[in-house]
Amino acid sequence: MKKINPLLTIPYYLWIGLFVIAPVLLIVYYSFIDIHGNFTLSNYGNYFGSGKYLMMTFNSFLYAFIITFFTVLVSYPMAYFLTKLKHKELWLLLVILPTWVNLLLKAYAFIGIFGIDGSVNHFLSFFGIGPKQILFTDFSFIVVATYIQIPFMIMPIFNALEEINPSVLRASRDLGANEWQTFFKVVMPLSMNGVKSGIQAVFIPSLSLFMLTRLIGGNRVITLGTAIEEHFLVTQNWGMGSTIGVVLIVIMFIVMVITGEKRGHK
Amino acid sequence: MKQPLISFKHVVKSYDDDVQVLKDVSFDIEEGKFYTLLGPSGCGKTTILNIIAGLSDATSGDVYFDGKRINDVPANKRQVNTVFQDYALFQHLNVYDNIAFGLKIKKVPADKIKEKVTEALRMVRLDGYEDRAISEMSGGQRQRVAIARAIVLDPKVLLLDEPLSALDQKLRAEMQYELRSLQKKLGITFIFITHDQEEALAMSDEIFVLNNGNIVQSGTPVDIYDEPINHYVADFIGESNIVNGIMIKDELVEFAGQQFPCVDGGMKPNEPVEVVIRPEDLVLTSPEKGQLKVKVDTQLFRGVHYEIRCTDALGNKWLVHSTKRAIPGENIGLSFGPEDIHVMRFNESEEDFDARLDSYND
Amino acid sequence: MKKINWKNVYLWVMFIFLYAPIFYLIFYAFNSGETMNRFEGFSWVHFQELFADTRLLIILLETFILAFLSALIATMIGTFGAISIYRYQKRRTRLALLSLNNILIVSPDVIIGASFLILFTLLGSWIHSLSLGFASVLLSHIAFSIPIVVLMVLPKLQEMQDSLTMAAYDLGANHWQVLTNVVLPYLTPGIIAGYFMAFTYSLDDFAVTFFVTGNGFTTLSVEIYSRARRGVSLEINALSALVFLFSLVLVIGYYFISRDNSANHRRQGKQVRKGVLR
Repeated sequence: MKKINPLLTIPYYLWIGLFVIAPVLLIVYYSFIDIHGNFTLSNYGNYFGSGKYLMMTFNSFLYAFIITFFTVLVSYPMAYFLTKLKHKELWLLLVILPTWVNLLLKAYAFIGIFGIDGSVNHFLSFFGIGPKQILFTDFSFIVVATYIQIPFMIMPIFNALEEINPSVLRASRDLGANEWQTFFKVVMPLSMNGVKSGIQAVFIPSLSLFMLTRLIGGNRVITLGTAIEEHFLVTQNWGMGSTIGVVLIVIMFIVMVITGEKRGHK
Repeated sequence: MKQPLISFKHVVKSYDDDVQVLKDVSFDIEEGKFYTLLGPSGCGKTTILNIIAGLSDATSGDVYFDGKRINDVPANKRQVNTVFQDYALFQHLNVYDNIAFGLKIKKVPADKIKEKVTEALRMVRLDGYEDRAISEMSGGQRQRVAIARAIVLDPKVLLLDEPLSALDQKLRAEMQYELRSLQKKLGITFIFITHDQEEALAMSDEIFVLNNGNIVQSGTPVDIYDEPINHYVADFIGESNIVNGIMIKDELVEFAGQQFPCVDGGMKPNEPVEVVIRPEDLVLTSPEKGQLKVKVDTQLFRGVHYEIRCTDALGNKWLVHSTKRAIPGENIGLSFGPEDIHVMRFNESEEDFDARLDSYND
Repeated sequence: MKKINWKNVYLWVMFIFLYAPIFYLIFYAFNSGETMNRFEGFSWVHFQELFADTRLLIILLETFILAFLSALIATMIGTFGAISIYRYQKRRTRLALLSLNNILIVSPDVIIGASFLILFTLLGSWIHSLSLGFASVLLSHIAFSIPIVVLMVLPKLQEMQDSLTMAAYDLGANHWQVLTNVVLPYLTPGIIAGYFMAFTYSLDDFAVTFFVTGNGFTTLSVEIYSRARRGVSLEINALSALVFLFSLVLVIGYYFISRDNSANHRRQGKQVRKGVLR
C-alpha cells in the first residue's frame, strides 16, 4: 500500500492527541494543583510525608500481590491440564466465557453467596460452625478478586504452553528426563513468558480495583484505586487524586519493565 | 535493429543512500521474445522487474517503453502485468473474480469480461474452474490462475517473478514447456526471473546474467554457455573446470604445465588468463592417449552419466561427465579438442568481449 | 480399584468454581422469595418485574446502543489507524506509535476514568454542549476501544503479503480501488474481531463510565452497582440470566467467526509481537 487518503487517518491521530497524550499530561499537571487551584508540591509532600498514604500504598501492593499469587497458583495447573484435553480450544472458550458476564453481576453474586445468611454460611452451619462474617472481610475481597482474574491469567499461560514445540518435549524424554523433570526443566521455563504477561494482566488491575473494595471489601480494604475514586468523586480533591494516579502510573511502568512484554487487559 | 520495446538507460536503484541494489544498468528488450534475468538472490533481478512494472522507482536513469519515458507512469497505467512469486491471488475472490479483477477495474462490460476470462482460462488449461475458491486449487493450478489473471489484460510484456520456484520438480519441467508455448502463442514479450540456470537455458531467447546489481553478460543460451565472459558466469551457468593459464599467443594457451592449441585470440602475448573446459567435453581415455594425465579420486553415478573427480600432477581438480565409468585410484588420461578450450581474460567488459569475439569468429 | 484422575478432578473443581457464582445468580432468578438465601419455589415473578421496570429496560437499551455505536466508530477509526501505523517504513516510528496506542490498554480503568473526567470537564468549560452525559460516555468508550481494534487488525495487515497489493496495482487498480477491493476485504476477519472486542469492552465497562457519566445517563454496570449497594434484588438476577444467555450467543457467534480463519489464528498471535518488532 503506497498511499492512503489522509482524511481517513486523521481521526486516529486526533484520538492519540486528545485521548492518549492529553489525559496523561492533564493528570500530571493536576497532581501539582492544590484544592484551591494553585500550583503546589504539597500533594506529593502529603503523599510521601504522611504515613497514611504510604501505608495505603503498601496495603494495596500487598493485596495485589496476594491476589496475583493465588491467581498464578490455581491458574497454572489449570492451563497446563487444559492443553492436555482433546477439545482444548473449546474448553478454553469455556474459561473465557465468564469474562463476558458483566463484572458487576459476578460481584453481586458473591454478595449473595458470602452474605451472613448466604449459602456458604448455610454450608458452614451444617458442620456446626456458626454463621460467620465473610462478606466485607479481606478474605472475601481476595477470593472474589482472584475469581475475576483467573481467566486473564489462564489465557496467556495456555497460549505460552501451546507454543511449546512438542518435539522439544520428546527430546527431553529422549535425553533421559522423566515426566516431572521435563515439566520443571523444560515446560516451566518455556512458559514463563505467559506467566509474566499474566502477572502483568492481573497485578495492575488488582492495584486499582475500586468497586470490589466497596461491594465486597466493604470499605475495609482501601486500594490505590479506591483512593483515586474517593478523591475525584467524593472529596473533589482532584490534585491529590491525580498525585495518586501519577504514582500508580509510575508503578505500572515499573511492573511492565519487570515483566517484559507490553501486554495486558483492561 | 527495430526500436526496442523496453529500454533501461543507466538505471540506478539505491535504498537509504548507501545500499545500491542496481548499479548503472542499461539494456534493451525487443518485442515478442522470451527474456530471462538470471542471477543468485540479492543480485537485483526482482528490482529490475519491479521498476519495469512501476512497483518501484529508479533512483536515477531512464526507463523507456515504446520510445516514451515512463519513469513517472504509475503501475496501474502501464501495459505490463506481473505473475508474482507467491502468486498473490486474492483469497476472498474465486477463480473467475480473480481473473476478472483487472477487467472490472477497467470497467469492461460484463459479457466482454466473461468472454475474456473464459478465453484466458482456456489458454492456461483451466476450463471449468471458474467457481472454485483459491483455497481449493493446488499449487500448479494457482500458478495458472495467476498467469491467466495477468494475460487477460493483453499486456505487451508479461513479467514472471520466479513463478516456478514453489512447484515440485516434475510440475516445474511441465510448466517450462507450457510457459514457452504460451509465449509463442501470445506473441508478447516475457521477462522471466530465475536463479535456476537450467531453467534459464531451457526457456529463453535471451539471457541476462546478473551479479551484484550489474548485468554481467547477455546473449542467447548457447552463447552464454559456450562463451562465458568470466569466472562468475562460467561457474554459475552449468558446471565447469576453471584453471589459471597463460595465453602464449593467439590460438595457443598454456595450463596444467602444458601448451595446448585453442581457437581464442585477440589478447596480449603471455597474458594471464582463465581457462574453462566443460566436464562433458573431457573424454576418458588411456594415460598414453590423453592430453592430460590424471588420477581418479571419486566417482558418483548420476543416472545419465558418471560424475568423476580427478586430480592432475600439478594438483588441479578436474570434473568429468562421462557415460563410461572409471575406477577410483586409477591413473587415466583426458582428451579434448582445441574448440573445447575456452579462454577468459580477467576483468574484460562485455563490449570488449563481444568485439574481440567478433574479430576472430568471422 | 480405578485410579483417581487428579487432573480431571482439578479441572472439574475449577470449572465449578468459575461457573458456580453465575449459575447461583441465575438459579435464584427463579426464586419466588425475595432473597438469594432460601429457594422458596419456582416462579417467573422476577422476570415479570424486570419487564415491567421501564427504567431498567431503557438503561439496557441505551447500554446496547452505546456499545453498538462506540464499537462501530472505534472500528472505523482503529482500522485506518492500523493501516496508517503499518505504512510507516521505519521500525522505530511504528514502535513509538504502537506504544502510544497501547497506553490505554495497559492503563488501569481508574486512571483512564479520572483523566477523562479532567479532560471532559475542561472541554465542557469551552464547549458548552459537551456536558457529562451520553456524549462524554460515548467518546470515552470509543477512546478505550480504538487500541484493541488496532491490535486486532494489525496482525492481518502483517500477514498480508506485499505482493497482494502490488498485484492489484499491477492489474490497474488505483489507491482507492486497492483499499476497497483488496485490503479491506482481506482485513475483514480482523475488523470483525476488533468490532466484537470493542462491543464487549463497552458492555463490560464500569469504572470509566462511572467517572465520566453525569446525572442524566447511566449504563447497566453503573445501575447494577448502585442497586447492589442498596442490597439484593432478584430483579437483577433475572437480568443476569438474560445477560448470560446473550453472552452465550455472542461467544458462539465469535467462535464460528474466528474458526473461519482458525488456520491463521495461531500464527496471528505470534505475529502481533514479531511483526511489530520487524
